[in-house]
Amino acid sequence: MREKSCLALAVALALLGWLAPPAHAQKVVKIGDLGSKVGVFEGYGKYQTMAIQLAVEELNARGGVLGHKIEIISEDDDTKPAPAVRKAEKLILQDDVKLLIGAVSSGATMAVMDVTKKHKVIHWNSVSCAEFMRTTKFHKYYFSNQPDSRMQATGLAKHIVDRMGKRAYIFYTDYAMGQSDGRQFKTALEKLGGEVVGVAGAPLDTKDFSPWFGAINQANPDVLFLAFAGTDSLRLMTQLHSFGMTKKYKLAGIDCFLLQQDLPAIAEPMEGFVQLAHYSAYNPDKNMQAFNAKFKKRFGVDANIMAGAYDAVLFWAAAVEKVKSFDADKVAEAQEGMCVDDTHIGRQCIRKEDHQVVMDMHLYQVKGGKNLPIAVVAGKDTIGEPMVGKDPVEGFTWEIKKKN
Amino acid sequence: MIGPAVVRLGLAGLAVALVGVDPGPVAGHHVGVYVPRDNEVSANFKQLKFAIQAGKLDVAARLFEAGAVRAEMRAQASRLPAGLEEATRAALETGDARGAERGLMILFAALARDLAREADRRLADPGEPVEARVAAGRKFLEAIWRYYNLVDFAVTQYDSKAGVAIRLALDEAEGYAKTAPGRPATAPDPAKMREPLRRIAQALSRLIATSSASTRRDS
Repeated sequence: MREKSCLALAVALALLGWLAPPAHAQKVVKIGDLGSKVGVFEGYGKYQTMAIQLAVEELNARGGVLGHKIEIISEDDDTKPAPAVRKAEKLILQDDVKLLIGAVSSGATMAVMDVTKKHKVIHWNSVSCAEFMRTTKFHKYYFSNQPDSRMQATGLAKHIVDRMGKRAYIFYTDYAMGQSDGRQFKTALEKLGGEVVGVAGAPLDTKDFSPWFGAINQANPDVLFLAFAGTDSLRLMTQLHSFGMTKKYKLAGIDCFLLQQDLPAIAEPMEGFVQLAHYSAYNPDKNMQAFNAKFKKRFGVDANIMAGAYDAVLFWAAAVEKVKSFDADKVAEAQEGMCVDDTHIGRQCIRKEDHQVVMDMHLYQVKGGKNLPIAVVAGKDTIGEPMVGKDPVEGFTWEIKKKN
Repeated sequence: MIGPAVVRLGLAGLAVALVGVDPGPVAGHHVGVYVPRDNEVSANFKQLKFAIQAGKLDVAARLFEAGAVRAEMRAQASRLPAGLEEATRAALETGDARGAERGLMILFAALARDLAREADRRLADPGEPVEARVAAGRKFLEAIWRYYNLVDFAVTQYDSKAGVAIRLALDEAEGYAKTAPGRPATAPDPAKMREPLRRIAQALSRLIATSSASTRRDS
């Protein structure tokens, strides 16, 4: 018992020592880091933390922001909307964060958007890609430097029509994410004169995809566009490969099709797969290499697409310095249209109308388990018109338009 | 139904793992977002992990000494690589974050492996009706996922093939635990669940062996 009391005291003292500010401490401003810190999506949530940490360390080394040392408060959201909302409220109401970055899953991010809107806190999203965040869910304090499904589909569709073939079959997982990616891709492809020769949605939790393979083979597309994620993607690629379809068709998908850390394990089925993203550690681009070098030096591992969280801190800090205030209204207005030179991919600017960073992206093709760049897609060509408050899929139909 | 088997084996950790299991279907492994409710071991793991990630290894060391994770390491010591508790403690005390995370990975991989083995044994029991075996299988899958999900990223970084193989096997076993949507003819099949569970146990055993060897080399 006595041992336990001593231990409790020791832990309490340790925590006090950790939390208590030293005498004459620099003023502090806190920022929140919310996302999947444990579990399958840790590869995003943990890297988000590291990217934020890198930016904060650089800024603090230069005196912080507006004379304040920046402190990060990280929270795990279990990759679910309800805990994400609770943790966001904790970060805002208890910790008084002036910037919130997160979450990882689109469902959680959209739920958190209601919280940041209500409490007027600057909110950056650096990985979720649902199309609704800069349209129907958009609010004044929300900013994003993750290319959403509309941007990715537009960029991919152009490359596919120009380089891979005009006839595509869309195979998607039949829930929000897959439907979103599928309809954006169909819309983009048809706009560019491509032909969707078939669409199919496999119910969530499908274990055996082979019943759909006959229809795909019958349609005989040039390209098979796949909108799946997580273990669904692993299972689908394994099955497509065993049916010889990974060799028969050119394959493409968006950047959340497969977790980066899984790629080496499924390199053979994924060989040749084309996807679009704003970052790869294997991209020789000098800005990416410079960013990766300092990331690797600090953490001992290559960076991944969560590098966007680094930029989010830089944008916010630049805006705070510009308006000499942490006031969210002033910072939000300052961020609108702002450009920053030293992001992980060089100069980037925020579009005023929908707070989307106009990011150049690269198309990557998997070769030997690595994402290697094959083409650049300009952000201005993929971002599309601002659609704040509008339904991004109004009038959409899955109907196949046959071409002669 | 699982209780007696657990007691018979004296697997205190398994009992902890199976307490508070939601009765609902095992869902969501397919996209990796399903997170079972924490028990005291997984909750303590998260405290440790967050302290380690925040660079507060002194705090993590205290949380380890007082927490359910160390208690579980002691309770399961006979099934764990020799010296795991000491190696994990030493890593925490010397500020070796990677070593500490590896120690935790080995523990949770071992807990998941033992649950997979026990599930396989239970599913083979001809004395139980199919429905009871399927129900037990679902609860075991939930319990395995509770522990495996916590260390999946560490496992995948250590051996990406193992990580992918385990997730696919869990997914496959889950498929045999329920009726496929739109295909009522596909009844749950406890016998078919056994093969992926064995694969999980084998993959985790290999992982434990190789990562323990590197722990010894590093120490």
